[in-house]
Amino acid sequence: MEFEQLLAEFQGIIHKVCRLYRDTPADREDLFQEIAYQLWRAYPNYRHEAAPTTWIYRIALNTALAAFRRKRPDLRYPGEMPDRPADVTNDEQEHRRELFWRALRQLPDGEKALMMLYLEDLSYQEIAAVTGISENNVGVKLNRIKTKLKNLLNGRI
Amino acid sequence: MDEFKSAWNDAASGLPRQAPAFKQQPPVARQIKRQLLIEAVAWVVFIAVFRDAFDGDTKPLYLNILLVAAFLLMLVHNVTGYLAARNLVNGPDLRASLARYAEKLRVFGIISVGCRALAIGVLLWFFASAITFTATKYWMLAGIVAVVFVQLFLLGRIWAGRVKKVSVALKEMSV
Repeated sequence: MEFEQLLAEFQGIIHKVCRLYRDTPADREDLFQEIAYQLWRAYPNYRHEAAPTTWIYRIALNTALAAFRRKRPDLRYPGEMPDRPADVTNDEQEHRRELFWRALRQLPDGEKALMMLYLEDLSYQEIAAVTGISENNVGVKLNRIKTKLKNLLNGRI
Repeated sequence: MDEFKSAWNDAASGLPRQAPAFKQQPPVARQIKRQLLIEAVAWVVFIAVFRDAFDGDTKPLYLNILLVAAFLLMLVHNVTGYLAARNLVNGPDLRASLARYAEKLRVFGIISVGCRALAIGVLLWFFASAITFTATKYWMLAGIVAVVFVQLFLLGRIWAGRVKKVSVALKEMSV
């Protein structure tokens, strides 16, 4: 599979990593470019033994955890005008999703990585292969993180 | 957890099917490169003109050599840092790669602060060598040294913060 095709097919993973690790659209865009660039640089050494997703998870998370951020003022703009009437059902669903993302972003960086791999439906064995920690440790850590997430969301959903 | 997974999976829905730009250097790398170029030009200009502009020829030869060597060392160190910053991924898994990266950052940070301290120290020595010192001038020199120490301390803290960020993430994943 050519790199361009691979990137187009799996860019969703990178978008999710960016949303998880960066708060503003500008920072997410920077991180997206950094991850795409690191993938492109690493592609000649990609041996196609592992699934492309496993390779992408490893490099995308590595980049998110290691990359420096540009210094700039923290300006955030809401997507809509505050007085716009919203559909109640969509609004409720959207609100719950936003709470979920907010809770996820409150996790420490290392725990975010594990939670992301879990939400991507990777098995403990696959998570262990991507992160380099033992399968047992993956299980223990994930249970703790899930409890932490529930506590963060407790009473808000 | 099912609702979480659904929210998670929806986060990347509706993306275009074509690949985004990927060959262009990322903005942070471009910013580092720009800063590096500006510093490099300034130091090269300084090295080129210091003998005439600051009477380098009237000062001991060893001091001239030391000054050029210190600035060249800083320049070479910055270039190696820029090249290293392009390779963030270096290991078979996340843990191994981050551990290597944290160690690389730690060593790089120490050399970076050391290089700056050396360059500023030699620069002060170079300029101070022609001065006949009085009590007031000693106090002024002490003030400059104090400011330099504060700057080096802050630079050291920036590097320590970078190393800590990666080390803490490593610990969070494994403990």
